[in-house]
Amino acid sequence: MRVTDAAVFNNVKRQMSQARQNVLTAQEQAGTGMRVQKPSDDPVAAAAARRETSRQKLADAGVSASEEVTLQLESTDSVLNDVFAALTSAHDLALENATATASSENRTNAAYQVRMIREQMVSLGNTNLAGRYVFAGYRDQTPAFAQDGTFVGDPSSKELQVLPGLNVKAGISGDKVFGSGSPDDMFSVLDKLASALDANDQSGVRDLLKDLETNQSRMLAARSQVGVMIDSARVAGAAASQQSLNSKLQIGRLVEVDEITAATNLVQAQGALNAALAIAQQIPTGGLVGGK
Amino acid sequence: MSIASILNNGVKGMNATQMATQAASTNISNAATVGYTRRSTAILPDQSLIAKSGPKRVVEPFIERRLLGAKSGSGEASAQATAVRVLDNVFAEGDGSLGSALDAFQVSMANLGARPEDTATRQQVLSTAGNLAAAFGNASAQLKTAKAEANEAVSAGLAQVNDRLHQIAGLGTEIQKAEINGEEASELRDQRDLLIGEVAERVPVTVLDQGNGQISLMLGGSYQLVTPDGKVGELSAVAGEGGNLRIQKTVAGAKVDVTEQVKSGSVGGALKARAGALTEAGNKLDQLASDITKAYNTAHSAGYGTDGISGRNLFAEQVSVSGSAENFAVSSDVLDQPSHIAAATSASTTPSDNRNALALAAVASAPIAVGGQTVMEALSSLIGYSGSIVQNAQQSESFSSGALQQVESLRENVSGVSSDEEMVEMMKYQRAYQASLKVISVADQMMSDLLNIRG
Repeated sequence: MRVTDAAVFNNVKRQMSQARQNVLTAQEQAGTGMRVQKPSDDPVAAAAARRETSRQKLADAGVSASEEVTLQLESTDSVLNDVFAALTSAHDLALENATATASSENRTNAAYQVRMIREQMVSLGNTNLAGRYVFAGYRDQTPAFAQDGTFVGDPSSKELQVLPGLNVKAGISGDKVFGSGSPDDMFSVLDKLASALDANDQSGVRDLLKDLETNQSRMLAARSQVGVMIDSARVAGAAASQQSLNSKLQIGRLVEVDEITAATNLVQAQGALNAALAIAQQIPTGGLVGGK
Repeated sequence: MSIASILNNGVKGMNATQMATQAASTNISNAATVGYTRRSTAILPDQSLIAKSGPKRVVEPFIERRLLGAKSGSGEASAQATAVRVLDNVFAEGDGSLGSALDAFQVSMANLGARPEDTATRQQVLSTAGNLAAAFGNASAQLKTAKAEANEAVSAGLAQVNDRLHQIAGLGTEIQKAEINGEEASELRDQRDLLIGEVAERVPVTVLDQGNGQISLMLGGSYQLVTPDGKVGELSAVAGEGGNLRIQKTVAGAKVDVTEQVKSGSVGGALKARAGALTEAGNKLDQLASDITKAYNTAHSAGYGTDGISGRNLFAEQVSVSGSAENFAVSSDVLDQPSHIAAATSASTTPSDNRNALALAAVASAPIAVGGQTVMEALSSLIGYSGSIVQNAQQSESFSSGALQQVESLRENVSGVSSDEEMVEMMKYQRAYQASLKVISVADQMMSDLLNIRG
């Protein structure tokens, strides 16, 4: 086969061009740490990385949402704890004054205390956290209860999205905590108790003990529900956090290049380029023309 | 046999070896000339043919045909790769990219679910929706520009082809005249082959040698671009369906559509990229924009703003799928009106009701796109599609470039110049020249001796 001058030079030129391209690619990867910088670098990885990036962003938002919900529910639980304590105080007062040993004066004092507890209950029912009335359902910009104890909030339990398709409950409406519209709702019972104490009605006070215990049971059920909600929010938050972490790892695997591989590739590419340059310098330029 | 005929033989030998040496020296001096075909001399026993026709170009017609095909293939692949490379930019990740804009928009919807009463959160929804519109607009504009550039490449390619066709026709006439007069026209033939190669890089052509110095240059084997009598059939581009160009050739005064013949070359590559990948990517982008518009509008119009009004669109309604990406915009129903964002499911529960905000956030995971995909899956598929198009085009460019180099190497093997080989040839003819001189010297001596005998 004839080997012509142009063929020799073209061949070396081609090899040098390819070697330079390889060095450029290796430098880009080593410099940026990225194996996939544009879709054509690896279409399958680029497409998968896009999906994972989207999942990660939504999961990060979900982590924030779950933290917000958890904080809100923990605050709600704390309020419920105060409500339960106040209700227990009212129950204790009723129990003390349901016996014959309590005097009329004792019952009058107790009536005053029960009215104070009732006022405290309305305040607790209208607890506002970060600009939201926690027991007002979807109407959380306005108080949940009127001063007379009427529930004026929304009876729904608010939900939040933590992950696409995974919503968690973010609160409990006041009617489920204090009762609303029923004869044994907390405010009515406290009103009746105060009236019975004022009237020095021992049997009336004793009769209301059962209603107070019904309210205590409702309170415990509400706290239990909020406890479950807190657990759910934490679990969902952990799932979102895990999703975010998994997505980050997956994105790393898909588009990043490990430093050792990048450095090795760069060394290899530079070695190949040096070889190509050395070959170019070795092309016999003299030959017979040069008289050698 | 006379002494005079011996002298004559010596002269013939000197002439022949001079011509051969001249050919070798021409070859050496043109070793690096682009398009140069080496000359060769074949000294026949009577040494007469050389003097008549001179050195011949060393070409292998089969390789020349393959070279034209390889140039058309390489031109096509290179033009396609150049045209579709924009898809990498359109769908690359980064600030302002379609992917990040869609992420931010979906996150803002999730945030709206957490804080529907917060004006800043509602404003964030509008901002991210606006950024999404900008990203769609930017992607659409880039594709539009790429399509326009592909059309410009077609028009520019045809102008270059037409220019070369006229040069080829002119050279054919010159070659014919020169060779009729017995002159050597290798240089003109080299020039013509170079021009034919440049045409082949742009449109697929075949050459029919007429044997008289003239050629017939055919487009795709069917239409004459240069006739044997030196006439040129120019190519022109006209607007076709969907903004794609059609190629026409004037035949007997009438325009004939020859687009189907232009399947390769850089013009063919640009046509394919414009009508194929770029249009397809644009259609998919439009479909995605349309699907997003419909899905979010359906969910949004079912909800209520804080002003208690329902039935508003989030994005401007599209007349058709085509153009949806370019015209993607935040609806005037909600533009600059955070309170119009419909997060609630009833007028009585605004502004804290987040149930419609949750429905809007749920669109992100709903199978609302083509093939039952979510929005992000559809975008991901589009990114995968675009990446594959660019990757395949680049690989094709690399393969066809390699194929061209292979054929060029083959041609070099036959028609290229080897300096060493030519130097050996020169040494050989130098020796032959010296021998011929010696013949003349001997004949002269013989003549002289003969005259001395008579004297």
